[in-house]
Amino acid sequence: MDTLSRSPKAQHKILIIEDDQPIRERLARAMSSHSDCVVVATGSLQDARAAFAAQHPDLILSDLRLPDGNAIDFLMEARRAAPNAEILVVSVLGDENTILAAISAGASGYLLKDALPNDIYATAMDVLAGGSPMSPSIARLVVMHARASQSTGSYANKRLDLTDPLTPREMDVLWGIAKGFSYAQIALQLGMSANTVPSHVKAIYRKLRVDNRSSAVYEAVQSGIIQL
Amino acid sequence: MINHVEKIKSLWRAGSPIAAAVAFSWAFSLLLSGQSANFRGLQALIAMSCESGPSANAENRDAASELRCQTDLNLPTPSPYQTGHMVRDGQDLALLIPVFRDYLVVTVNGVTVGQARLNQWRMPARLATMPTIISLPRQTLKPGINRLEIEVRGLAGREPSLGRTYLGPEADALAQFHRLWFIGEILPTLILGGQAALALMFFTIWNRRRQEAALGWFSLVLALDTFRGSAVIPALGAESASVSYWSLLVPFSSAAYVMFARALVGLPNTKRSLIVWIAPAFLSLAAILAAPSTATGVLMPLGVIVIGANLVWASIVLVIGWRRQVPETRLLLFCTLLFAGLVLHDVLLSLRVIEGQMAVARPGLLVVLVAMITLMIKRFTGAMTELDRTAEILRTRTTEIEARLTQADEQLRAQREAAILAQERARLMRDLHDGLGGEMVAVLALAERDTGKGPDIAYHARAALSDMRLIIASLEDYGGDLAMALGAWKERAEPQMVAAGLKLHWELNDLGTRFQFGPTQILDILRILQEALANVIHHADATIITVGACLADGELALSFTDNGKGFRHQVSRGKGLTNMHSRVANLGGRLDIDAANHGTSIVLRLPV
Repeated sequence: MDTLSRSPKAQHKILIIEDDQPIRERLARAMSSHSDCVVVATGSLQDARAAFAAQHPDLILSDLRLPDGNAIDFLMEARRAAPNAEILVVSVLGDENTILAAISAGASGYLLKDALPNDIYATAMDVLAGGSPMSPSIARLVVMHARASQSTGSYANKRLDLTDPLTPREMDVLWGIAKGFSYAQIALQLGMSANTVPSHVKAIYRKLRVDNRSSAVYEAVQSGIIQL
Repeated sequence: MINHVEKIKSLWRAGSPIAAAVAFSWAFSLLLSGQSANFRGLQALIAMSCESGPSANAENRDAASELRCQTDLNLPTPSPYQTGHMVRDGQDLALLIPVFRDYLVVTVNGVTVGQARLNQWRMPARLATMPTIISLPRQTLKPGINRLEIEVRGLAGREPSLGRTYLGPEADALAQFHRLWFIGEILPTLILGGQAALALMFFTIWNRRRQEAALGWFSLVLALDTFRGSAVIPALGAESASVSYWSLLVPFSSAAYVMFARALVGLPNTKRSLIVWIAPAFLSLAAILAAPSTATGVLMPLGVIVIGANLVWASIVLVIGWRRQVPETRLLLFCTLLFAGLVLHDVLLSLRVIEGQMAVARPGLLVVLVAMITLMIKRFTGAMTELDRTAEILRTRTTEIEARLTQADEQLRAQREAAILAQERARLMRDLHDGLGGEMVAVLALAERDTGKGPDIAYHARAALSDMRLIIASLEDYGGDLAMALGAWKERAEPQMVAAGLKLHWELNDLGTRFQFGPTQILDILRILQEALANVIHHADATIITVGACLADGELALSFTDNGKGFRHQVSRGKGLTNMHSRVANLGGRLDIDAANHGTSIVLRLPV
């Protein structure tokens, strides 16, 4: 367990779980270089569990594939233990499988491993501020899935769980995000106030989050259909 | 279903012998009852003396002759009603006359007690017989010798004749009369109904299936016979008192029967087969033109000869059919001959060559009908069997073809999958080679030099990673929607722009869903954008990038604009420009590059 920075003025407690040391250090540097972050970085799930219990982090940055197993179980547990903790998944490619798994684990988004330090910090702060960022990839995945299940009437190839069906307004918002528009642009196009878009996004996340082990993605990861 | 048909088939395989037996026993019993002299309780008046002479009736000059028969009845004394083997107590005596022609008057001791006419029953055929019963009232009889006289007159041109006459108690005579009446009148009427129904049925079948010519002809036979025998016809007024014109239909009917036999056997219907109609036509014409006496006396026997000849002709045709093994001709031949025999019986009866009680040809027509019905049912069951077999064959073939199609389908699918796989593999290899490969080689080369090339290595590694992400992004499912692919690219590219101090303006119009882009095209488009972005980051000194997409003039226009120092100062990276152009060529679009001092505008136009 490396404790890289400890600032008296720390406001945000951040847990980093990444087995590759250079990347772990890079991530930790990106956060701890700002004085408002307290970072605990670990390289295995076992360490992560201990750190989580000791630290009670506000934000977890976690790789999904770790030497002692995949992180989904741990992230679910963490979410249940600390519902207010935010999660960002760290990924090399940001591909569909990773995004699905991240959503399943209750993450608010993902970070690319080679992201520039400023981006990493900005994204983390965004999440911690409750800004509900949603990337075009996530939006597209949800939209495509919802559209397919509408046209076929059933979740033939079910990979995404929704606790409630999405409203048409939420679908509109998702379309906008998937096409790369900013929240302000979307609000303008849909004729809603700028504050309404983030609240729609929060609602969507709520519907996406299925914190249990019977979710389709969880099963797909466990059975190897989705390989992380 | 098939079991049922099998049962019916096996039942009707024995159908011909059964039908033949029925027909034979019917004809035989008719002949028997026609010839039977055994009238229980009645006594034949054998000792009757007859003489023929010129007609006493001056009004009817055509009546050639008259037959007077007489006999003495010896009734016992004192009362004929109390004793005697012949007469039972309290009963009247009655005469039963089964066969006579055409008009008779009975007198006892000079008193006329009754008369009867053959044609009063509207029997159109002169070959037909009709029994008559005449009561002898007790007032006219006296004990001892009674003279019984019977005067018989023929219609115009016909010899009068009287068959055997019977005397007995009225009740017994009536019983025998009813029997003869049933066979002579009721049965032919029933057969008439059957004929009419069958005629209609066969006509309907023939009308729908003209290839069944035999059925058409047989329907004509039945129709002619039905008209001729129809009890309605005399009421139409065409029947003269002395000439039975409707009987002229019978030669036609027999001619039609010949045609039926020919059609059944499969002989061709040529102009020569019209011969069959000549004799009936001649007879009809002659009968209409000739005097009633000639019509009845000469043409009627001629008509009978024509009928007989036609029956023989039909029989010969059926023999030919038998030789050719046409099914069921044997049964029909048998029944035709039986019927001819019955007709012969009636002719002999009418000529008084034989003595009998009634004519049997009309009730005997049932024989031919039995044969025809059997034939029909056999054809029907045959057709059903054929249908079953055809259905079975079709089912088998369908199964075979289905199996073959499924196999072909699977082969096709396997081929298609293999082709797609090969195509994808080729694409992926080309994509990796184009982008990733080159960058990795550059990284390697820089790393080997190991002289503070850190930033350069980072540059190429980042480019390699970004290209790999583009490849992966191109493989994802956008549902053919380019806007979403552009959104995905923006997500990847924006951090690079931010790092380079660039601000992105994202101005996508609604592109609709008319474009359906495949992974190859999407990758090409994204790489063009990526290339343009790389140019701007490294060479343009710009601060703002505007990416726009819109539909205009049937084209999709994708624009990438910066506010840098203009393209002419960026020519150093010629390879990037070449790559861009080759990708535009792949897409079948064109690239407009407008480089000015205040920035560069690159517009990719794709045809819709």
